[in-house]
Amino acid sequence: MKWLPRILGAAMLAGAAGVGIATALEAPAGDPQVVELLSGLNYVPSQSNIDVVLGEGAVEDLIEIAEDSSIDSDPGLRIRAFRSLGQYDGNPQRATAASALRRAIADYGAESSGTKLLYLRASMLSLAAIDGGNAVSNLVTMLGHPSRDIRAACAQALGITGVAAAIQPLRARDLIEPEEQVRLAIADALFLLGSKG
Amino acid sequence: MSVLAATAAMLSLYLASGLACGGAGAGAPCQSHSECDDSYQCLAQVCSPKCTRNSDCGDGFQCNEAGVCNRVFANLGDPCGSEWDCEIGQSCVLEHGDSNDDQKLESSCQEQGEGGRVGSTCIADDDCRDSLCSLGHCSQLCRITDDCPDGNRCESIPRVLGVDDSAFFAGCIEDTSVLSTTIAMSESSGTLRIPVPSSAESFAIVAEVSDKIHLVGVTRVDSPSDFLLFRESDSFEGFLANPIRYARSKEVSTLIFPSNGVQEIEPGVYDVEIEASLPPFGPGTAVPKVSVHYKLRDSHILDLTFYFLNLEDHPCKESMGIDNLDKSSAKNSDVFQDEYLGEIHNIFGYANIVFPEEPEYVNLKRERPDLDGITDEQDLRDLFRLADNEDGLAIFFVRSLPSDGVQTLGTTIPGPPRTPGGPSSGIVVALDSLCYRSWTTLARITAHSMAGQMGLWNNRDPHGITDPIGDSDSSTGNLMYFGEFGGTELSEGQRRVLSLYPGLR
Repeated sequence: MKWLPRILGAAMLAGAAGVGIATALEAPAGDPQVVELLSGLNYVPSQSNIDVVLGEGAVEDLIEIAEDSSIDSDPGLRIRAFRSLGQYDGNPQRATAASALRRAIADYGAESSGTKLLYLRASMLSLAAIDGGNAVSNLVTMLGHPSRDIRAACAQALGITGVAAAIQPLRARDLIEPEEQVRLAIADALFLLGSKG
Repeated sequence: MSVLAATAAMLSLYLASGLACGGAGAGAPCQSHSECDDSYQCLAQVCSPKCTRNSDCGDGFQCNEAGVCNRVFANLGDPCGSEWDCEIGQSCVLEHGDSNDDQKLESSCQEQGEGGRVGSTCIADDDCRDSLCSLGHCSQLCRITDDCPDGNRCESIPRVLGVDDSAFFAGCIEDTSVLSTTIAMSESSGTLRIPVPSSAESFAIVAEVSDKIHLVGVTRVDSPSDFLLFRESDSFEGFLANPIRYARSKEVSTLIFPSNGVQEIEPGVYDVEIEASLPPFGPGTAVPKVSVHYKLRDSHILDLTFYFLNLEDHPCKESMGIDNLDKSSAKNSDVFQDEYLGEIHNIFGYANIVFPEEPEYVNLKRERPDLDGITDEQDLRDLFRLADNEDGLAIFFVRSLPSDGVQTLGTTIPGPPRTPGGPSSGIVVALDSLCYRSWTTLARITAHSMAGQMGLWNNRDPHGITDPIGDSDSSTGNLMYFGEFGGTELSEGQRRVLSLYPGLR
C-alpha cells in the first residue's frame, strides 16, 4: 500500500497541530448566496429555496447559470441549475425554462462523454418534469444515444412525462436494448406509464 | 479445565517423558509441596506449575500468595465476592435486590446452573451457568480482572432491579472494543432499561422494524441520574433543543450518546422509550428489534468496504484516470489509492482515526444492474441492503444519483454501526462528480458523508441551522459544510464525536 506511510505521517502531524488542514475547493466567482444555493453535496434546492435567493427572476437566472459556458463557469453549478429548472412546473416562466432545456438537449445530444452528458441528462429529466407530453418528441431520439446512462435517463424521463405517446418508443427500444441497466429503466418507465393509465 | 483433568494430563506427560524416578518437576507424583521444585506445587498429588491467578487452579480452588492452589470450602448461602470464593459445583450468585440500599449488590454461593459459560449470549440469568446474564452475555462475579476467563476483564456493571431501581456489581465482561447485544421487545412501543457499564465511552441504540412504512426509534431517553437527554418533539425548535440531536426514521434509526462533543457518559441504567408508529395514524403494529452497541475502550480503527456497481463505460471515464473503476482497478490505481484514499485518510487522521492497510473491495457488477444508477430513495435503501461488512463503513460507488448534481447520499444521521444489510447501512458516492471534480475533491465529498454516518451533522445546513457541537463554527472550511466548496477542518468536539462512533475497533 503505497500511500500508507506518507498518509500516516501527515495524519500524525495534523493531530499534533489539533486542527485539520483547510483544502477547500475554490468557490467560483459570483454571488456567494447563489453559489451556496447551487452547490449542495446531497440535495438540489427546492423551488421555494431558489425563489428566496433569486426572487422573481429565478428562472432567467437559472437559465443564465445553466447556459454559461465561459471558462469561469462551474460545471457543478450548471448541472444543478439545469436540474432546478425542472421544479418550475406550473410557473408562468415554465415555457421559458422548457425552451432552455430543449436547447440544451439539442446542443448536447450528440456528445458522447464528459460533463456535457451530465447537462444533457439533467435537461432531459427537467424537461420531462415540466413539459410532460410535449417533451416526448425531444426525448425519444435520446433512446438511441451511445451512452447507456443517457438511454437509461431518457427512459426514466419518458416515464415521468406520464403520457401514452411515450409507451411505443420505449417498447421498441426494449426489443433491441443490449444493456440490462437500460432495460430495467425501460421496464420501470413502462410500469409508471401503465399505472397512470 | 478442572484440576483433576489438568493434573492427569501432567502425570501422563511425566510418565511418557521417562522422568518418573526422583524428579520433582512437572508431572512428578507428590504428597506435599516440599517434594516439588520451587516453581511447582503439589496439586492432586502431582507436581504442577505454581499458579499466578485463580483461573490457573480451576473451579473450586483459589491461588494464594505463595502460588499454591487451595481448595475452597463453602456452604450454600455463604457470602462471596467472586466466583472463586465458592466450591466446585457452586456459583457466586447475586442477590435479587439491593437489600442494604448501598447501590451495590450482595452475593452468595449457590448451586451452579446448567446454562452458558462466560461470554455466551443470553436473555435471562437462567440461561447462564453462573446465573448472571448481563449486557446480553453470560458473566460471572469478580474482584479483579484475573478472576475472569482469558479475554475478559472485571468491570463495574449496572444491574436493572425492577422498573426504577438499579445497583452495580463487579462482573466479567468481554475485553473487546465494542460489545453488542440485542433486546427483545414484545409490543410496538415500550420502555427499555439499558445498563451502561463503567468502561463504556459511548453507546448506540439501533431500532429496526422489518417493513418500510413504520417510523421506528427512540422517543425519550433519561440518564441514570434522571436527566432528560432526549424527548421527541413535534416542533423543529424542540428537535433542535434536545441535548441529543436525533430523529426517528423509517425501518431503522440510530441514537448515539454522547453526541455533541462535551457530553459525558454516565454509567448506570438509562431509561429509553422505543416506539414503532404509523404517522399520522398513531401507534404501529410492528415490534421493533433493538440492539445496543457499547464502545468499551479507546479504539480508532475504521474498517472500510468499497462496493462497486457496474461502472463500465461511464461518461466520466476519460477524466477519472481509471478506465473502469472496480475492485481490481481501485486496488492498483495510484489515483484511487493516493489522491482518493490518501486524502480520506488525511481527513480522518485529524480525528486520530486510521484505516487498515487494505480496505475491502467488493464488485457488484452483475448482481443488481437496476442499482447501477440510483433513481429514487427506494433504490438507495435497496443498495445499502447489499452491505455485508460487519465492521466499519460501507461505501458504494454508483454511476449517478438522483438528482443530477447530487454527489453523495446517506439515509440517516448517524447510520447504524455494526448493522449490515439494512436500508441505512452505508453511504453512496456518484462517479458523475469525476467529470468535473478531482479525486481529492471526491475524497472530501466521501469523507463528509462518512462523518455523517458516524454522527456528525452539517456544521451549517442550507437553512443556516448549525450542528449541536459548541466549538464547531459555521465556516465553509469545515468538513461538515453542506456544499461542494468546503474544507476538511474538524473542531475538537467534532473529532470527539467521530472517535466515539461504536463502529470503530
